[in-house]
Amino acid sequence: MLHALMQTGFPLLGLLTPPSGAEYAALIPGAIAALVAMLVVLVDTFHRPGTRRDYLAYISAVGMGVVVLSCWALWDSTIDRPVFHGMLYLDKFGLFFAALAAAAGGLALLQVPAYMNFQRMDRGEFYMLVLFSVSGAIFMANAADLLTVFIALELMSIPVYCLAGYMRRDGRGAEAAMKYFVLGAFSAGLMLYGMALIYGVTGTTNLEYIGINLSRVIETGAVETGFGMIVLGVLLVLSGFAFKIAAVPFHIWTPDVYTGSPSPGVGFMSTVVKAGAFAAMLRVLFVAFEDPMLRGGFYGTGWVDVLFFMSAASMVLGNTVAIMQDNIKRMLAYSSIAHAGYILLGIVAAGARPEYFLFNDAVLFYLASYTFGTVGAFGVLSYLGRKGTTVETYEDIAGLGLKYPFAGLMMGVFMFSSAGIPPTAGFVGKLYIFRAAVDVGVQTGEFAFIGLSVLAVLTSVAGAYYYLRVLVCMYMKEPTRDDWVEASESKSARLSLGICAALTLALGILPATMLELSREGVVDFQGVPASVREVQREGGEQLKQIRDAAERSREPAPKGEVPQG
Amino acid sequence: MQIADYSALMIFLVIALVVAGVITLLANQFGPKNRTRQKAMPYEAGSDPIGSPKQTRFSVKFYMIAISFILFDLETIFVIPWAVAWKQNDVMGHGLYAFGVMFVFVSILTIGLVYEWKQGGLEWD
Amino acid sequence: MMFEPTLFHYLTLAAMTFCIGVFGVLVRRNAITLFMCIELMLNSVNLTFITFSKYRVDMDGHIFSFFVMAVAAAEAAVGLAIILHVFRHKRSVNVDEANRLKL
Repeated sequence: MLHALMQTGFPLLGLLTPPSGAEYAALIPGAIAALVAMLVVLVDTFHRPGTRRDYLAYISAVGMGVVVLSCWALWDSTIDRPVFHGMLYLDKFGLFFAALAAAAGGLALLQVPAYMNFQRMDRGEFYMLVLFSVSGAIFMANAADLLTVFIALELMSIPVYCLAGYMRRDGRGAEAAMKYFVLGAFSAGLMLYGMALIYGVTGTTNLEYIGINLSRVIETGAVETGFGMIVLGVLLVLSGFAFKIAAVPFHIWTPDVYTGSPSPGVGFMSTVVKAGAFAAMLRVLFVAFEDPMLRGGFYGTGWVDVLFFMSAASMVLGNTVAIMQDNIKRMLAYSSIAHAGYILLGIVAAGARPEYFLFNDAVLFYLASYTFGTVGAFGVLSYLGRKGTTVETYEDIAGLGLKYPFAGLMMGVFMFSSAGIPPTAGFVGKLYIFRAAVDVGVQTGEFAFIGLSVLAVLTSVAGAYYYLRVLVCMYMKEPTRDDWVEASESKSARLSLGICAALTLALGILPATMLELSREGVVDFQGVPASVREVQREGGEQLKQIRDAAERSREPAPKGEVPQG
Repeated sequence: MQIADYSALMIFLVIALVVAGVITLLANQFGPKNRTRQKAMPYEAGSDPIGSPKQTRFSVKFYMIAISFILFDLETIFVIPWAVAWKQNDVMGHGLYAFGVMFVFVSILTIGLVYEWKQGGLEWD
Repeated sequence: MMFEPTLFHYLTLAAMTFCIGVFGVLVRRNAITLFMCIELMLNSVNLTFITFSKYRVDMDGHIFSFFVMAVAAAEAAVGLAIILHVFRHKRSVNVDEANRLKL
């Protein structure tokens, strides 16, 4: 808002100048998702009772496909300043996350009809909730203002609260929804208070102006008491994001919510919500809170240090507690906490110094690999089951790998990816994250980063145990209740699982394209201060060369496009 | 506007409270009292009351109506500032844009209303 | 002499109501009360925004508080529906009795 007024030099408040035609492009991915959601609302409203609702899944999946295509079409027409009165960005970073969220949403929704048929809960609300949530995640990834961050966060979260309590006959769903809602609304309240304090100190809600004004306030030291407000504000905003990504001190809700929610919904909420929150978190951290004082790093007091400990705690707690679980959904919940820890490790490495900003591409790649692996894993869980229930525990899936070869094969791919075993996406993702951390540690001579990377490697080795235990159960145990489980012979679910597995393998065997995309996304990340902008301009080519050299030493991989940056 | 500008309102409020309080107090103190069981009973249109008023349960239908009310009521906080700024926008030549923005907003709300209607959210029974 | 509230007074009031809300969420066990405490938090945020907005002569805070109100209403609708849903299963809205999912 302020940005636009300063641009036009218009002194009056309350007057809005229409955005120029090109700016509307920033709305396209999110608006398509919202339009598809509203279309599904209308179509479902006039649904003929007694017939199946599979076609809603197809409409949604096609709509999500259109969103991905629109991101692809917009890829080279980005704008290097915030649009819509400083509310949204249109850059490759946002488009990357928009495409990721839409792909995950579409793939999760393809698994839904079969699941709903098992559960006898064939209602249209599932589709619209997921679609609205996807549009929230897309706007969150494109947010250029705290207001957009907040509204998009709620647009993303509120449907997911409903999704958690979707199984109306199951009391566990109600409990999961209540826990998620109360804690989610609480964390949103904390985050909002942080935003209010930041607004009070800086006088603006635009991320870029917050960055500029915070630096000014900190430099001049004009506001003695203001510094306490800044620190409190930053911590509260961080805690809101940490809740959404399920990083350790704010992870309590995760296992309960994941266990009580319907499986395809969990696949959605553990990936899209996390991706949206990570995207907005990167925006806020690197655009608004980029001042060296707030950034900290190396035993300073800044968000890098806070995230450093969150990362370590998430990796250790997530992996150790996951080992002890009997329920696969709970195990995956704790493993998603561990994954949040690995992703935070990438952010810590990239945030340690302004010149390491480009290491964020490992974060983007890791999120992509995590997304397809997780949507697929929960897809397999919802693929196997019968009326009124689906598989959940290790006992339930015992021996199913041989009985249902397709499900077993798919589960194998997704578990290998989650465990980080080559040739899957998870391996490459972990490799780049760990290497970024080691590089930063070596270049700066800080042993803390090396230590954290070693910890990450050790915990991921521990993680391999419980992922592989799933496969051991599926292939080497005798089925306990032989006639209990059946596989849904749903073509759409098979298609979704197949796409997830194909992408997981493709990202593992030929990572160059996706790596190129994530690198372009980071290089085109808008709104960063001048120091980082310089790095983006020069380092894009440099980073590409380093990575390509490593790539060539490993295997011959196809080259992506020449970067724009 | 300073808080002192509201002093007339405060004085009016205080006088109103004092007058109402004094009259109630006087009636309570000096009025004749003749308590009977019938008079102490809760008033239910003349018929004998059924059960205690403490245990009265409200139907969940009231909740449905209340929630629908809140959701559609809150659109006014967006519509009123828009309406106030309408004239300025029109003069500046952004009338069509401002209209379009509000049209999109109300259209989305209408879809919500259609959904609610068809799902039976507005039916009492 | 008329009492003139300053920025400090408004912010203190907002901070106090916010802390009451946070405290309530942490200690109360009734889901409806929890929910009211969350609303209290959101309203104190609104007060903070409006205070800063007024003292900075800037409309952004007002706009933000409008959106907070709208989102609070949406949260209220969803939250009450969820609490009702829990009540149908448990015949209670005590969050300690929501224990079928182990912590």
